[in-house]
Amino acid sequence: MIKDSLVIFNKETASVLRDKRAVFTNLVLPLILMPAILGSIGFIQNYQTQKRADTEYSIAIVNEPGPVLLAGATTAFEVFLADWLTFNTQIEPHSNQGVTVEFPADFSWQQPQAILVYADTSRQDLTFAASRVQAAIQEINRQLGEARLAALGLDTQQLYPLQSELVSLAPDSVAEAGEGRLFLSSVLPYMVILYLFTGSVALALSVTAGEKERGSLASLLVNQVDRTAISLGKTLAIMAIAIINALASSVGLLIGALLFSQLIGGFTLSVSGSASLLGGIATPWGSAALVLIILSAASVSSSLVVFIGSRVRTVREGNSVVAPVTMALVIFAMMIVNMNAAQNEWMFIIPFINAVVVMKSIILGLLQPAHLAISLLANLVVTAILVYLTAREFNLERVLFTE
Amino acid sequence: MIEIKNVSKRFAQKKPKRNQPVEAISSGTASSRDKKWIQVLDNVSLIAKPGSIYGLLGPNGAGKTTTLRCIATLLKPDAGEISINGLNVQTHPKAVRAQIGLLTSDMRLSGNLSSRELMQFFGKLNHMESGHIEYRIVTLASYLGMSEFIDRPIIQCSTGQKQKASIAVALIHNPDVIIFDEPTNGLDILTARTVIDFLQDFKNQGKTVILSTHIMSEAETLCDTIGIMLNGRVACQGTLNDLLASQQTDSLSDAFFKVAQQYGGVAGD
Repeated sequence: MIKDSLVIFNKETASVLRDKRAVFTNLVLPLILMPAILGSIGFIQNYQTQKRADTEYSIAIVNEPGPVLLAGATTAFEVFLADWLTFNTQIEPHSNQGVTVEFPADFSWQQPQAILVYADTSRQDLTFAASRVQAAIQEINRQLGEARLAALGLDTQQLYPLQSELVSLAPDSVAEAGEGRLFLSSVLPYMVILYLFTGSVALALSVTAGEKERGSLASLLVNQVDRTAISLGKTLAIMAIAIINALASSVGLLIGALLFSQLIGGFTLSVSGSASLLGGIATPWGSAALVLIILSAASVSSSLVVFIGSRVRTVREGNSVVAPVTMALVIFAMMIVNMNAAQNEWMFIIPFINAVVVMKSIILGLLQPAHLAISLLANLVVTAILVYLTAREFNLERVLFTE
Repeated sequence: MIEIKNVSKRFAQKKPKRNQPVEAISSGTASSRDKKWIQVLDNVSLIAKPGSIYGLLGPNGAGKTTTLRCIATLLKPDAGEISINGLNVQTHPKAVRAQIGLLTSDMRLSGNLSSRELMQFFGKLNHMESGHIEYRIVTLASYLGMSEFIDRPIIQCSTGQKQKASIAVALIHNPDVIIFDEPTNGLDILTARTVIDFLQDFKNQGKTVILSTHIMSEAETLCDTIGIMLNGRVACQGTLNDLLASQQTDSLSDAFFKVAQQYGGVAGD
């Protein structure tokens, strides 16, 4: 049976790998898509930030008040605002050419009063300028408040005497994990699950429901090959393609994330920086565990999609079944990714959920061997059941009918 | 040799289609409230002998494809027996599959593999030695005139070339019994002629050939025995001369219409 399965596996994978479009979609596109998207977003954001800083905005000041005493020196509002924004005042107030700052006609720095900031909020540049104006007013407010407290012999700490500080009791690997690694541990697991599905659905339906539509399934079934071998061979082929797609997509996502960080946050790409980001994945035990759990999750996802494909009559019908299943799984995975696995050990016996939790634990350096073993065993059992059910489906007469 | 004895087969239909004539649905027992049953084969019996071509002639929905699928172990009869060279298809399906080659008109080879690779694939699935597979590939390529396109991806082949590849794939394990479901359906006249020539040649090689068709001229020129199928039954069968004599006509189409008048209606395929 294994020999026949490998014959089918070889045929299906060779068929896919010869298809230039399939290779591009499953291998090349994931590697370039995320870096291209995240790199473009980073570049555009960087460019916009730079442009905002270099832009001279138009600000109209209505009823500008006299100078105010700040940090021991009197400062005019217009001069103070110049520290926050490059601007000119040669515009009509309340026009959509720029931002208008309107002080009340009887404004006094001593009385609490509302200062109105007018801007066309449908324009990004004016919204940004308005936010800088508001930030400047807020800063004047803060400095005025401090000066008045000082005049009364008080400081802000006396006004707000209580302060708190969080002391982490988490394991060192988590406590030392930077924001990047925590983000990666939340995002990467369910992205991998999503990629395992999305990368394999089209091909899985093509080799199952597609074969029914092409009429070639009958030729396969009329041979001496065992139905379980057909089911296993197809599942293995889809699993290989799903893993290739998931790995390419994950690598693409990591490259994209690093590129984005470099463009936006001044993050410098380095081996030590990347290792810090990857956390437990960078260790031999972690990477081995990651490979095992991805293989295991891929076996479940592939056998599930092959089973669905063998049950439906057409590729279109298959897509309509797989799409909601994939969405439900991803949403569920997103929901459970932040749950505490240590207190919810049932998670390790449910496919996909166990993969998400184990991957997260690997990245944070918290993985326990027993949890990995339970997850692998559970996924193996579910895969075996699905392969059996698919084989059973190939034995049923309805598998031949597309209407 | 193919022997079919009193084979019956029915398909469940969950709910009768709107406007479907009541008489099209069998009055057989329903296993659940919603299910109706369609009698697709009704007590079918026939014998196809080695070195001959048996043609199942009938309109769409008469039960031809279902009969061939039962012979090919893809469907299980509800009643009756089918044997291939003495092997019961229900009790020895694997052994039967080693002896049959199936080609259906709706089978469309596609993809990036070449005819050679597909033949190798199906040869391995039939548990043939690699040396034997290569021998059969050379033999079939020469016999079917495939040398020009044998290494070309199927997706780049013409309809005729794909049909030859389909025949080669069905025959890679050199089966004794050849089952062709409407082998010339959708083919141009030249390719159809080539397929007919091959079928006659298979017969001359001593193989048992059974095919289905609704083309009168094809049945007339090709088949040694013709079975007219209507409403899931073999309404009458025999040589062309037997049929013409029994219906007292000069042509097969006249004989067919006479038989059809006696039975009327179709059951569904």
